[in-house]
Amino acid sequence: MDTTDPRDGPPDFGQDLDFQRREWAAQRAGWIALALLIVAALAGLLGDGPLSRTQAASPDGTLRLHFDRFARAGATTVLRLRFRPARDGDGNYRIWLEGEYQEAARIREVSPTPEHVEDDRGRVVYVFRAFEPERSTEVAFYVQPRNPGLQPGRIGVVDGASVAFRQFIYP
Amino acid sequence: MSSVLRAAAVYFTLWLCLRIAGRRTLAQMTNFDLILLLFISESAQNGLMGTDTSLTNSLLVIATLIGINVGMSLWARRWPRLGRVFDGLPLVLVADGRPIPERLRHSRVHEQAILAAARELQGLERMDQVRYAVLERNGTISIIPARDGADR
Repeated sequence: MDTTDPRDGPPDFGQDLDFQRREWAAQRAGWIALALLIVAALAGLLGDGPLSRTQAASPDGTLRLHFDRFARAGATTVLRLRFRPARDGDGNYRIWLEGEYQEAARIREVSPTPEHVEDDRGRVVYVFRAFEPERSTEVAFYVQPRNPGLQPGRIGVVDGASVAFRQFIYP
Repeated sequence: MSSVLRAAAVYFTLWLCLRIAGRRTLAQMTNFDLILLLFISESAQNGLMGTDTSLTNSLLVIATLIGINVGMSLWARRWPRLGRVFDGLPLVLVADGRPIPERLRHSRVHEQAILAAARELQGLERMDQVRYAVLERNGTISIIPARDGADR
């Protein structure tokens, strides 16, 4: 115990100046850590923000997926798929989402609303109608990841290209 | 399982934040500090409960928070080194009527706050009537008056 300071007088009230100085130093380090955390959050390293937004494209470039690199369990994040629709035989557009991703995240809403949803060998297929042909269009999936950790996924057009993506889910 | 982990995570995060902020942060309880405290509890609530609003979950969260608190205090009794890390130690701010500037600065205590405590607790008027002012572990300032008290 450091009682070298004569101003402390005989009773030291249980103080420990060495410990106190370490505590102050730790506090200052903590302030810096708090500031860094806030800056990181503003930048998007902990969820939505500029550094979180990213995109992936299919190898042939026909599909482009805009998504958040970092998302949070229980919070809604958006997967936006931009593509040039190619009509299939019965006049519909079919977009599939990997079944595993579908299990790891709750699909809150799909916009535009699909005509119906089908199961196809472990993939979930969303069938849309009424896109204007030959114009680039967009489908948005509002999803709520359930589990923290690295979450891979894949989305694509039936009988067409697909895009793989990876998200880090914070708890 | 997640109820206990959530409660523990919130407990230790709040402890760390308050320890970083310093013990004076919420000890003075100005009007705004009170509002801040309400905001903090509101924000912590979601983290504590998650989406599970069952009675079992809230009882588990309460049991975990109190359990950790009791556990930490038992532990701190056995190992004082842990106790001081957890709660800090008292610090003499004024000795024999003389404030110690380095300590006031680091603890972010203003001389006015010491004089206010001296007035409230002991009815003292001047710094030289204060023998010791001690910043306690809970962030309050306790005052020991000079022996000859107010006649000085």
